[in-house]
This record gives sequence, structure tokens and C-alpha cells, in this order.
Amino acid sequence: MEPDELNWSKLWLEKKATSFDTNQFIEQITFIEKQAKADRIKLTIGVPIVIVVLSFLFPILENNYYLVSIIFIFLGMLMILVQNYKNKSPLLNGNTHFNNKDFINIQITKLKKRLTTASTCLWISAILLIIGFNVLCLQAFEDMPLTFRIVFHLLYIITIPFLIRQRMKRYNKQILPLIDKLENLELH
Amino acid sequence: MAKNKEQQFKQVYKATKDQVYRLCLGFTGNEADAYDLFQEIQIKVWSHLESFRKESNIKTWVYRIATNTALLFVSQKKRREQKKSNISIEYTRIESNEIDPLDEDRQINELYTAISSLKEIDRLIISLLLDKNSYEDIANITGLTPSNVGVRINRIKKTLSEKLS
Repeated sequence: MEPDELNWSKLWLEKKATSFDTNQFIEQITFIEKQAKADRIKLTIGVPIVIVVLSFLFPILENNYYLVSIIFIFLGMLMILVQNYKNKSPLLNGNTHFNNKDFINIQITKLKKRLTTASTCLWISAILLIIGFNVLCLQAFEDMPLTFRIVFHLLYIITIPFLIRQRMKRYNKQILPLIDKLENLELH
Repeated sequence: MAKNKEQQFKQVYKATKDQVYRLCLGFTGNEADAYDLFQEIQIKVWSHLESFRKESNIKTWVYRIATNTALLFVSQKKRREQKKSNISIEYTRIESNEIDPLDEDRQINELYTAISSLKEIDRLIISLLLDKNSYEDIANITGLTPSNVGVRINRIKKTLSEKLS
């Protein structure tokens, strides 16, 4: 060891860990784990509840329009739910098995894939929801004036893609700089 | 089962806390961020504890988690700050015990600050080296070849000497 390195190592080793309460840490992390599990369960039962409520409001067995629209809405919501699950799952798994170089390469691939699947998934769900709500309106507002019905149809057609676009923008803003940063780590 | 995990975590924590903390401080250059990173690493150690294979070296295992977490730390700072309130543990600083604390502290701070100004991967390499890891170990953790590690270490030492002179 060179003198400089020896001195740096001596100074380096002087620092000791900030000591935190491991019992408190374990208590808090197990609480968060339970909370996350509860949130997932709430989300999972939320979709069937919405479908059941809609089925009560619009008798699906008596009317084909209602049946078709509820199926589309259900599929649309299901896709958003699946996407949410994917996002919640730890992206950064593999911390323990991979060295830095492999880990970074895997993260870049995963992030790029996530961007593509998120976009596809969200747009498909948007189309399903637009069809679902429009078919529902077709029957539910049958007796309403034409202008009112057109406004409602347009509302769905404009609002849902707008919300998806906003979400994708947020997504890109979050993920693209991270990809850029990882690609510039010079682990080659 | 849960008690077993708690015991295992405490053992791992005790065995590696100082190395992990130094790596965090060298990587971030300040105690507040170092503590955030340290905490994030402990969360990952806890979450992955079941995947630890007894036959592998616990120090290398934790170092992999620590270095991988550190590499993503800066990029994810904004998102992390939004979630920050989830876990907050009170902690106390352990001071170094030296004869001339003022001068010693100043030198230590200078060293850590200088290291934190290097490129991300270089910070990790020098942190691992100063914690007495071999070139082989560093290569194993980073994924670089031992010869590449050697070349980089020479370059880092030169840069560090310039920064500290």
C-alpha cells in the first residue's frame, strides 16, 4: 500500500455507522409491508365492486348494450389495474444477485420495456373504456335530446385520452432521465 | 419465522453497518443524504434477506445491494423525497476517537468530500478499496475485470491526490 492510500484508508476507517434503532426500524418496515398488502387488496376488490354497482344500476342481463359496455369497462379497468401492479412491483429487484454492471444493464432494459408496455397498456385500456362508456350512454341516454347525448359521447372521447396522455407525460418525465443517467455511468 | 428474520437482519446489520455507512458517506458526501441512502440500503437488505444464500459471503452480498442502491440513489432522489416520511428512525452520531479531533475531523471530511466529487462508479471503487477489499472482490461487486479495476484505481488515486493537495 502506498503512503497516500495508507493514510486515506486510516482516515476512511475512522467513520463509524450512525447507529439507529433496529427494533424501531423492523417495527416500521413490517407495518409498511402490511399497509402495502392492504392497499393491493383494496385495489383488487375495488374493480369488482365498481362492476357490481354498475350491474345493479344498469341491468346487464336484460339489455345487450349494458352487457357489452360493462364488459368493455371491466376489461379497461382490469388493464389499468394490471399496469398499476406492474408499477408497484419492485423494479429494482436483482440487487443481490447481480454485480453493478449487469444490474445497470438489466435496469436500463427493464425501464425501456416498462415505458413501452405502459404506453400500450394504457392506450388499449383507454379504447376499451371509451367504447364501454359510449355503448352505455347509447342506451342509458336513449330518451335524452340529441345535443345532450353528443356532448356526453364527446366528453368520453376527449377526456379519457387526455388523462392517459397526462399520465404518460408524468411517466416519461420520471423514467427517461433515469435511463439517461444509467447509460452514462461508464461501467464498461 | 418472523423472529428468525429479525435476528438474521440484526446480525447482518451488526456485521456490515460501518462499511455500508462509510460507502454511503463517501458516495453522497454529506451526512443527511448518507443517512437516507443507508436507510434505503437497510430496507433492501430486509426485503431481500430471504434470498441470501448461506454459502455466499454476507459482506459481498450486502455490498452488492449497497452499491446497486447507491448507483440509483441520485437519479431517484426526487421520487424518494416524496416517499420520505414513510420511515423515520431516530439515530445518533458516533464520533471518531482521535487525539487531535479537530485536525483529524477536518482531514476525514476533506477525504469524504473529495471522494464524493468523483464519478459515481469511481466513488464506489475507492470506497471498496479503502475498506480493504481486494481487487478481486471489487471486480466481483462491480462487474469490471480485475485488470480494469487496477487501471481505474490508479487513475482514481491520481485524481484524489490532486483534489486533496
